[in-house]
Amino acid sequence: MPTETNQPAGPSAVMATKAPVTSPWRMWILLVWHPALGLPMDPVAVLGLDERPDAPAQRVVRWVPLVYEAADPWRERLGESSTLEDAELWTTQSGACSAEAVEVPDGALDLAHAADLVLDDLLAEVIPALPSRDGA
Amino acid sequence: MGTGSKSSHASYAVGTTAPSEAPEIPLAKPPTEPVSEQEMQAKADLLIAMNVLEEMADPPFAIDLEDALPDDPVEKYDLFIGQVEDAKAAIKRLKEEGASEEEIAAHTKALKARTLAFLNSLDDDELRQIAAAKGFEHPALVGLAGSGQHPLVHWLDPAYDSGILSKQKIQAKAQERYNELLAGGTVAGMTLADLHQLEGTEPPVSGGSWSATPEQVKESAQAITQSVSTYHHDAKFTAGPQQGEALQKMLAAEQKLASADCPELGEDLTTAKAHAKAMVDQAINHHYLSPLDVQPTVQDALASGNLTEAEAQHLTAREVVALVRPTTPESEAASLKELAAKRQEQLAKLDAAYATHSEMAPGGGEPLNLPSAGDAWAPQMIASWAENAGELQGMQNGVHGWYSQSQQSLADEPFAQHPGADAANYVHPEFLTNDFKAWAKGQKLSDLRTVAGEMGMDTAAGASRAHVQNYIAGCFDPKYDQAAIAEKAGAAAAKKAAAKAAAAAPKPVSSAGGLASDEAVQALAGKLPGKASTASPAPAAAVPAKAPKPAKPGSFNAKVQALMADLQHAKATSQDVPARVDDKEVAGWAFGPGTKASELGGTYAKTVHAAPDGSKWLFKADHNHGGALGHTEAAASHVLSLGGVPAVPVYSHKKADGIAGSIQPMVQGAKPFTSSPSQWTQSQVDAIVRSHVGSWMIGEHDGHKDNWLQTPSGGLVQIDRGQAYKHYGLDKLSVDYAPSGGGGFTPVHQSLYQAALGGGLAKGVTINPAVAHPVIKKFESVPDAQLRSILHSTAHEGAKAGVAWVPQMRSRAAKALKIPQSQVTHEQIAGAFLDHAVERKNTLRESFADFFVKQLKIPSAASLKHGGN
Repeated sequence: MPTETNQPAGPSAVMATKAPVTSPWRMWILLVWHPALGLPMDPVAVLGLDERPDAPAQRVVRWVPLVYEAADPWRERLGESSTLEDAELWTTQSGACSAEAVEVPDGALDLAHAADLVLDDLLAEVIPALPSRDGA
Repeated sequence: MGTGSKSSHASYAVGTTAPSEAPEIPLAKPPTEPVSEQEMQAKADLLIAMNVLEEMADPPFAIDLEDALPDDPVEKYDLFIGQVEDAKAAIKRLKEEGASEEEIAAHTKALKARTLAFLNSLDDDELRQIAAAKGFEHPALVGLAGSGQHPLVHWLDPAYDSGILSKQKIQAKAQERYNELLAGGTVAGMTLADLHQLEGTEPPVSGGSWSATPEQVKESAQAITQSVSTYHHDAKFTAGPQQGEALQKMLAAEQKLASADCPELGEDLTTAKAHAKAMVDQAINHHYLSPLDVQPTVQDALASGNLTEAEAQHLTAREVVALVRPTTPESEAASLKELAAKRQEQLAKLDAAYATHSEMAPGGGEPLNLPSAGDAWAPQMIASWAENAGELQGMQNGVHGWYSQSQQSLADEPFAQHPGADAANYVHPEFLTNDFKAWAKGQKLSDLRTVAGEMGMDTAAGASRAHVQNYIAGCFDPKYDQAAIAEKAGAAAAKKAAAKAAAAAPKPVSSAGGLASDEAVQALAGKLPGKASTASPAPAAAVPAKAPKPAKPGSFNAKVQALMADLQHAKATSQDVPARVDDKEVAGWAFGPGTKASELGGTYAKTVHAAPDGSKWLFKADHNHGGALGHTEAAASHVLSLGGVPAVPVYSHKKADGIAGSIQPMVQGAKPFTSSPSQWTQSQVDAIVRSHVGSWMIGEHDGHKDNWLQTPSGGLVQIDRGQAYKHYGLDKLSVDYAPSGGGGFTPVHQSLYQAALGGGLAKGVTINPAVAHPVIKKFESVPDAQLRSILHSTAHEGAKAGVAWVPQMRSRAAKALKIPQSQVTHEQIAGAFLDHAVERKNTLRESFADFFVKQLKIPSAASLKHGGN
C-alpha cells in the first residue's frame, strides 16, 4: 500500500541531524485484529508524530504494503490529522485495533526516515513471524 | 541480528566435512528399529548439507572450505541454495521413509536456523547484490537502518516460498519508495539520482500510449489535483453514489496522465506521473471504500476490458481499485488476478459442499436427513457427509472475509447464487453435533461402528456408542479429538476384554454400582414405555425429511424461520465466546509466566499467559488506578453475562509481582466486523440491539466498529468494555449520545439507528424492539442485592481511586444526603453508584420502550413496557 505523509519528505540528509536524546518524535505501530492469534497484533502501519509546532512534517504514516481492507479501521481513525492525545488514547484501547508505542530508532534522519526504519523492522522480522490471518 | 541459536547444531556432527565427503553418521545408540538403506542415505545427505550450510555461515578457522567458497556473493548464494535444496530433498525422503512428524519438524527447524545464520552473515552490500541478481527491484530501498535484521534476509531465505506475502511486501515497499523518489522526494536522505548512481543505472524515461503536448500534460496533472480534492470532499461530506463517482473520476484522471507520452518533458513527465500516483495513493488511504463506492469504477473497467467479471466478483473494493490502477506494480496486479481465480475456485467448492451438506442437514430445526446407517450403502455416505461438513465449515470461514466486500454483496439477494456463503447457513459445530446425536440415537451401535470404521477409526469394533458418535462428530466439531477418542475406545475395549477373561464364573448382578454397557442401556430403554425410539430407529428419522422451502415473505412461516435464524445467531455467538466461569475459580488458577508480545518485534504492553488448561489468556495491567479499572471491566463483563449479552469474560487479577489489572481468555478465530449498516443482516441488527441494552445497563458507550468481532459461526460480540460506567449518571439513552464518538468512533448501535432513521439499512432489514425483551427480562430477574454485590469492588475501589464517575456520584450523594459535596465520603460515593446501578436495572424496560417509541419512531415498541410480567 502506498505511503502517506502530510507534507513532502523531511529535510535532506545534509540538513538532517541524528535524533536527539530527547526526541520530539514519537512513534507507534498501528495494529489490527489477527484472527488466528485472537489479538490485535497484525501491524498495518507506522505512525510518527513530531510535537514541535514548526516541524517540517508533523505527522507521517507509513503503511505496510499489500494490506487492503484489513487496514480500514486505521484509515478511518487517522483521518487528516492525528494528535499526541489521539495516539495516547489509542494505546489504552484494547478492542480489535491497538496502537503500540515504540522507541524512535537510532540514526533516523527525519521523522519519515524514523517511520521507515520501524517499518523495515516489521518487514524483516515481525511480519514473517506471524501466522497467516486465516490460520493456515 | 541472527538466530543466535547454536544449540540446534548439537544434533549434527560439526566437522571439517567438505561437500564431497560423506561424514560418519553419529549414532549415539543402536536404532531400536532397523533403518532402511534409503533412510540411512537420506540422513547422510541431510547431515552433509547441514554441515556445509553451517560452515558457510561461520567458516571454521584454517579450514579449506573458506578458501573454497566463491568470493562473488551471488555465486556463494547459489552454492548455498544448492545445499538447501539438497537438505530439503533429504528431509522429503526421510518423510517418505516414515520419519515421525516431530523428527521432520526438528530437521526443518534446524534448516531454517542454518539458512538464517548464513544470510545474516552477509553484509548489506552482499545482500543487495544477491537480491538484485535474483530479480529484486531497487534493493537499496529496503533495510535503511544498517542495523537489525535486514528485510532482504527474509526475502532471500529459501526456507520460505518465494511467492509468500511477507516477501511480496518487502518488494512492494521498495517499489513504493522508488515512486517517492520519482516524485521528487527523498528516502533516507537519498534522491533519485543518488539511487541510480548506487545502482549504476539510468533514471527511467516515461513513455505512454497517447502523444501529449507539455500543455496537455499540465492540464492532466491539474485535473488530478482537482479530482483528488473533489474525492476528499465527497468522501468526507457526502453519502450515496457521489463518493463513487468522484473516485471514478480521480482514477480516470490518473489513468490519463499515466498513459501520456511527451518526450519534450523528459524526466519531468516521470516525476509528474509519480507525483500523481502519490496523491491518489494518499487520497485512497484516507477514506473507507465500500463495494458500492467502487461500482462506477468497476463498470468502467469492465467496459474497457481492464477487469473481468470474475475479478470484479471475487475481489474486495480496495483490491479492485489496486488492480485497475495503471500505476500498480505488475507483480501486485498478477497476485490479485491469481487471488481472484483462487477465490472463484474456493466459492465453487463451497457451493458444491453446501449443496451436499444441506441435502442431509436441512437446518431450520429440521432433523438430519441421513439414511439409516444399517443400509448397505449408507456407512460410506454418512462418513462422506460428516467429513464434508467439516470441510464446509473451513470453506465458509475462508470466504467470510472477502465476500461481503466484493461486488457480489451488492446484489438484491447477495447469497442467492452462493447460499453457503450466507452466515445464516454456516455450519455450527454445536448444533450439528446435537442434530447428529439425535439422529444417531435411532441407529444401531453396530451400524454406527461401521460408519466410524469407514472413517478410519481402527478401534471402532469394540467402541461404545458415545465413542463412535463423538468420533464421527469429530469431523465437524473441534471439541472432539478423533485420535484421542480412538485411543480411549481401544483402551476401554482392552480393559473390558481383560475383565471378561478374568471372570471365572458369572456373578450376580449388583443392584448398585457398575455402569451398564451401551448395549444394555439400549436394550433396557427399548422396554421402557415411551422410550421405544431410543432402541430402534424412529419412523420420523427413517423417513427422509424434506428440505424446508423458503417461506413466503411476510408469512407467519417466514417470521418463524427468521426467528429460528435469529436464535441460532444469538446462540452461536454465546457458544463461540469462551464461557464465564466462577470468579473464585479463576482467582485460584496459577497462570503461567507472561509472554510479552514484544517477542514478535514490538513493545506491546499486554502479556499473554497460559491457564492451567493450556488456554491462552490476556493480562492487561492497570498501572494508573491500582486495579480499579480491572474490577470495573470484570464487573461489567459479569453483569453482561447475567443479561445473556455475548461478552468476553473478564476477571480482576493480580499477578505474582503485585501488578493489578484484568485477565481474559483470548477469542481466537473471530474476525473484525467491518461491513457497513447497509450490508448488515437482520440477525446482526438484532444482535446490535440486544447488545445495546447491555451497554446501557453498564453505562458503556464505546462500542464503535473496531470494538466488535464477528465469531466463526457468524455471531457478533462486542469486546473491550474498559469504558464501562465511565459516564455513569451523566449519560443518556439517546440516538445522538456518544461521549467518545465521532469519526471512526461512532458506536455501532448509533450507526444502526441513524441508518434505520435515514433508510440506510438493507432491504427488509428493520429495528425489531422485541429482541430487546429477553435481555431486559434477564436483567430484571437479577436481584438488587446480587447486582450490588457484583459491583461492590467497582464502586468502592473506584470511589477511592477517583475514577471518572466519582464527581457525578459525589454530587448525587450530596443531594440525596442533603450535605455539601465536600463532606461526602468515599463510602457514600460508592453507595450512590450502587443505587444508580440498581435504578438503571429497574428502569431498563421503560427506558428502552420510550427510546424505541420516541426516538426511533416505532409506536409498536410501547408494548415492550408490558412484557415484564
